[in-house]
Amino acid sequence: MTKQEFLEQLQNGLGALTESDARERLNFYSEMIDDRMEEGLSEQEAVAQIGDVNEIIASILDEIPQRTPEQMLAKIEQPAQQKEAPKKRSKKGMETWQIVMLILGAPLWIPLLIAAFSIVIALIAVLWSVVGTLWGALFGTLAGCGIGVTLLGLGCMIAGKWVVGTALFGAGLACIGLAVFAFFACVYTTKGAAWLTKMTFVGIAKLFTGRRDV
Amino acid sequence: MDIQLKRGMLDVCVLAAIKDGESYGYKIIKDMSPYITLSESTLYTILKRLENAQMLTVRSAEHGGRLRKYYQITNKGRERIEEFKSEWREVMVMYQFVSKEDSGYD
Repeated sequence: MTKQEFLEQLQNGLGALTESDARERLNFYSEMIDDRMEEGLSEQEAVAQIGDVNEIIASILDEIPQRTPEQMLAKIEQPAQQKEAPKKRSKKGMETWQIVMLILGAPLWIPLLIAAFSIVIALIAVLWSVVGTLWGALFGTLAGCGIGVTLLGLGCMIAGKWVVGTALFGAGLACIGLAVFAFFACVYTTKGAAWLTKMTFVGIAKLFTGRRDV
Repeated sequence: MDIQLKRGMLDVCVLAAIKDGESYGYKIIKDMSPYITLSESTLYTILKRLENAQMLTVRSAEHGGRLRKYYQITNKGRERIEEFKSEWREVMVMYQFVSKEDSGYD
């Protein structure tokens, strides 16, 4: 098959495409054949390497249904030549419109953004104050009381008040024991709060960069 | 292979074929041929998609008394290659894990 025959058959097969689309594809295949001939292949060999023209037509037409039904309708209703330009213009107009809205809306969305960010910061502050309180109230009180009462019990025992002294000493040791548990509970809570804070900021950062890891 | 996945990977292969300097259709196919066989119609679709995604630009220049189209990679195209590489490092780690699991049940 000659190059001319190949391109004619291809053109006939691509009637469903717009004129500009079909022309661009024909130029592409024409260039491919020319480049092969330039490398030393005969015209027949070059055309043969491109492949069966009917298979090529089928594979091109196979890709077309990727258009949405609306696009298919638009293609039928509009003259072929007018098709490309209006679509592009409307897309560009949309973008400009969005930018204008973004600028005009700045007095509205910037305070909202700041407010949203403040809420996040406030929530994190609350979280950490809970953690702080936990350390102070739970661990601090238990450890402080424990040590104090144990020493008091010891003092009583030295002073000869054995019954009261032993009771206080025992209660103090129990408090120290509870303080050890409280210590681990506080450590886990702190780790949890740290993790939550980190994830919050990572989440916010992702919102801005628009990246999503799977 | 999943068709979307393969399509995305072929896009990156074509970007890689033009990353060291502009190239034209037949040269892209020849450069890729030791690794990947690509038909003309597939290449056309990929080039069009990459052009629409602004990952490459096209210019027509005269060559031997006819016009030939040359494709240049853009910064966005280079970013896509880097993104692909880092994604696939992750995939390779997963592949190693999956393969290890296989041998465990032998």
